[in-house]
Amino acid sequence: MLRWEAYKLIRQRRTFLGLGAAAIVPVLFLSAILITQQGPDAGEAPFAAQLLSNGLVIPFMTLGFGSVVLLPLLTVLVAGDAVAGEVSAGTLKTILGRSVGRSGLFWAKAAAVGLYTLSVVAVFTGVGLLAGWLAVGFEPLAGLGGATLSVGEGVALIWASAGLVALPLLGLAAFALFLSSATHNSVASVVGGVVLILLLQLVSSLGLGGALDPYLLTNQFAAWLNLVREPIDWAPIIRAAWVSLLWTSGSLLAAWAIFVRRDVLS
Amino acid sequence: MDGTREFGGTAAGAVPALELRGLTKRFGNFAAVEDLSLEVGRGDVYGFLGPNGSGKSTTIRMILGLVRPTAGEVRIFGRPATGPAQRANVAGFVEAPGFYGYLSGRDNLRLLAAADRRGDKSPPIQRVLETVDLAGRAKDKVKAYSQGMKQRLAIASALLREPEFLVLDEPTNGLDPGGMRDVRALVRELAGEGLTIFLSSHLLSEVEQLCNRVAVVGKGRLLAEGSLGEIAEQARGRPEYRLVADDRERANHVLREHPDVALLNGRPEELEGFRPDEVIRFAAGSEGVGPVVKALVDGDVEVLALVPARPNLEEMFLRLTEGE
Repeated sequence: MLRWEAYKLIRQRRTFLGLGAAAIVPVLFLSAILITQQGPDAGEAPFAAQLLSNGLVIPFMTLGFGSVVLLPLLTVLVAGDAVAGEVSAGTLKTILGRSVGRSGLFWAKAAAVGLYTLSVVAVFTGVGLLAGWLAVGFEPLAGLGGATLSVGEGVALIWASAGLVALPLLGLAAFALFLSSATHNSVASVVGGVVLILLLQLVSSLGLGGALDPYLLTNQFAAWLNLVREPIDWAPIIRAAWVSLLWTSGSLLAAWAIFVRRDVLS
Repeated sequence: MDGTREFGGTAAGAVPALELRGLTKRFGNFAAVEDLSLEVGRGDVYGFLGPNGSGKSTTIRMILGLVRPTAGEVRIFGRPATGPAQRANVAGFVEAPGFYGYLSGRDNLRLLAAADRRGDKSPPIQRVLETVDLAGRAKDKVKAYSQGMKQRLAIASALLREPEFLVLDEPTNGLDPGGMRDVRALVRELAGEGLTIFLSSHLLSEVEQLCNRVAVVGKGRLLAEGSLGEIAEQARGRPEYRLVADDRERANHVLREHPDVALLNGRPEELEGFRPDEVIRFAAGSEGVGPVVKALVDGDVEVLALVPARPNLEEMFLRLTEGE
């Protein structure tokens, strides 16, 4: 089942758009930097001073801004369509007429959406890394604590950071899947996911979160910044992990409960 | 078609292929299906007839497990259909069949076969494609298929499960006459192979051509059930006749005066050898047509033709579904 759900995903234009955007944006970013010969106004971003001299910095920069809007958007674009798209195409009733059972189909779908989410992050990071290497070249990285990281350590740090960004993205994907299952409406689910992100970011930036602020899903996207610190601050990283896990499991369970019961009327 | 009933049928002891017991589905206050009970015997080609919006599709969705009944139950081969396992012998589709347009016909079937737990049996994809005459177009994307091809692909996807019981919802909907003929021929062929078929339709002629038993539904309720002959009996009420007389005016007058006759000149009647406007239609009372003929003769009317009118299925249908 998972194989076919994944196959269905990669044959859809929407998936191509998502992965394509994840591949193009780092290249555009790098081109802009090379043309203007200056980075964005990112004085606080890690390694910003080495931006023009070390290709390893590129993926850090792209992860930093990508996790604000682009990656969440590309995630909900596909996750919000996972169930609703099949409803509007009339294929959900076709596939539910087979013997696989609703639970089996749901978890295959959830897994395929998870794979897509991880692929978006991997493509986004990988392309940034490759572009940085080709255009600027890699050098040992001057770490924030004064120590120097070898190229290998730098690459490992990049992938670890990307993995940390993927956690809240999976939570968001699960939430969009829940909306998809609950509304049977693709547009509503995608917009709903985007609204959630913008709303949480707004709450946080206006200082309305209060004591809950560190636990908002959107604030987990920045947890990887603690990974590049010296020494590493583990508390926000662990918090990012369990907050993301909570969103993921809660949304998935709710989505599943609705999916196995809901009448299919289209 | 009647012959197939002798092999299974709903005779005592035989487990029916499908049994609906008090099946009800409400959406808020609206009852789409209300207390519907019927039985489909093995080997039946069972027509499920009703106008659009009569609850046919909702019923089929409940049979296929897409919609949960508010009350009542669906039994398939004697077992309550509570999940996919009890529906292992059933396959079909409801309303316009949906396929993955960006995949080929063959890939759609492979995907659907993968969603069937059939043990080690490899799905007979090539065979079902040939059965529905799509083998030549199997490599094309489904979005390039005509409506008729999609309907045939839907039948192929149902046959892929090698079911004993086939549920087809308006299988000729949206097809041109050639496509309709092909699909009907296919249904006949499958019925000939011993499949039990549940065929919903709003086309009377289709049901008349294909089915040995019929249920008529309207507004979610069962209005009539049985063989076509039995339904005609239920719908007819009093026997009707077509009459041609030498003097239409005088004949009409005599009939109007007769206490036991109801004139039914609603629309032109067909009677071979006469013009439609010459034909009078009437329903005779419990005494039969004899006293009426005597009254006509006594009234100096010459009877040129008198033929029992067998109400056609369309009239029965309209009378059943509109006479609520």
